[in-house]
Amino acid sequence: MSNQEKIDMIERYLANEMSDEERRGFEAEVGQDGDLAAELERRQTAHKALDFLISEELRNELKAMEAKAGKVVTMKTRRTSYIYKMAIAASFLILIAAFFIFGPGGQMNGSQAALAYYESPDYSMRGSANQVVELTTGLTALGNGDLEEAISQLSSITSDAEQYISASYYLAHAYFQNEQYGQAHERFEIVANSGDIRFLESAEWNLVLSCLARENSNCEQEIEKITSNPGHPYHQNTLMVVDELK
Amino acid sequence: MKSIFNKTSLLEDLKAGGIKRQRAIATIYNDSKLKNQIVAFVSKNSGSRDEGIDIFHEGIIALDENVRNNKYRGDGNLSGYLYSICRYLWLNKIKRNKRMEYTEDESRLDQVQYENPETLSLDDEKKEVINDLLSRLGEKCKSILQLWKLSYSMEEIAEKVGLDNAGIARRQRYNCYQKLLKIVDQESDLKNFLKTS
Repeated sequence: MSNQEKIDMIERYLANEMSDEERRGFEAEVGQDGDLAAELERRQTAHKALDFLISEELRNELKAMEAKAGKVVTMKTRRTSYIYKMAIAASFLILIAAFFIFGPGGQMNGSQAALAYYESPDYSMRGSANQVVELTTGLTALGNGDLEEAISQLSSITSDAEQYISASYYLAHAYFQNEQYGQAHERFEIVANSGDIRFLESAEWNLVLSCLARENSNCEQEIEKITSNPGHPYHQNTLMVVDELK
Repeated sequence: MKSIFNKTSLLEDLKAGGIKRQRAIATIYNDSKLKNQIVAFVSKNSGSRDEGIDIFHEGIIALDENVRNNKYRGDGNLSGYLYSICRYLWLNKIKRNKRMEYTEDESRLDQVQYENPETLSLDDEKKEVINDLLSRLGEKCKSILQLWKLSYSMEEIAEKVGLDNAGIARRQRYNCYQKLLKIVDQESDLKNFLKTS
């Protein structure tokens, strides 16, 4: 085996590109070939050095994200609904995350943008004494990541029920997380059209995302609704998405 | 059971590197439920909220490194894996600092299926030495090599680092890697520090 072949083999080994069988064969060879073992150790150190740099950079990025998120939490409070405040905080977090993923002026398609900007709702904050059992069970399932169960429970709440809009909002999220973007869009639309102030702005924003997540869909109407309203808590987010899609 | 965090695609995305890894890390970071669980665990065991957040970050870093280096052999439940890493990290820290007011049975620590990656055991002083040695590479070389290690294509590396094309990126990658190997040959500290785990 030539030196170059040995080096190629070592690099494939270090990049985890070998099958289990190849790996075992290579390790056996290393046990018998001192030069090969020495070169492997040398390059292993170089790879560990790169892992070290990657970890350092990731640590700094996570700290920066945390610091920026912390600033949002300590912003001057306003007399707004809980969900409005959460929306603003979530917007900043998403903006930071999106910047972290794609950097300034990224190039995403609609589906990538939707997934990058999507945020799960806070399932634990919505309980109330007279909550119907399907909503409680559905929220618990959603919080546990059991999407099939969440969809089954939440979709059983009919339009004449008092908590239909709440159920629709969380059902829309369950559909989105289950990659059923068409159904998610339909449900977010029901919530947005209901005008329920608890969910209105979040539903409008998620309407944009569930629209973008579907292939080849025209989302101008959904986007326009937010971009034309500078006071909308998701205004900046939507502008960022539009910018990413250019 | 299916949730964004439990998807095996997240595991695959971390392994795939590049933009997929970045997106997977952002997804993990944004899992506020898991983050709160970890912060709560640390708070209940003699720690502060800030320490809990630090441990959450260190857990993400360790998870990323273990998955990328094929050390993770689990079933795709990254949420449980990350929690066990964070638990392990925190319990080791309070044991080291003799700040032991642990609310769980200590013997359960042995049940944590987690291999400690190299970077975690490095103290600040060693990290500074390593950073100093690797600074000889120069910022551009560091970026190129990190992107290469994270499986970015040569086209992507060229674009991110501001090189004209993939061919130039490939040559630069080669030269930078040779430079790194030279540092490895000259500086035994680097090998010794990175070996300790």
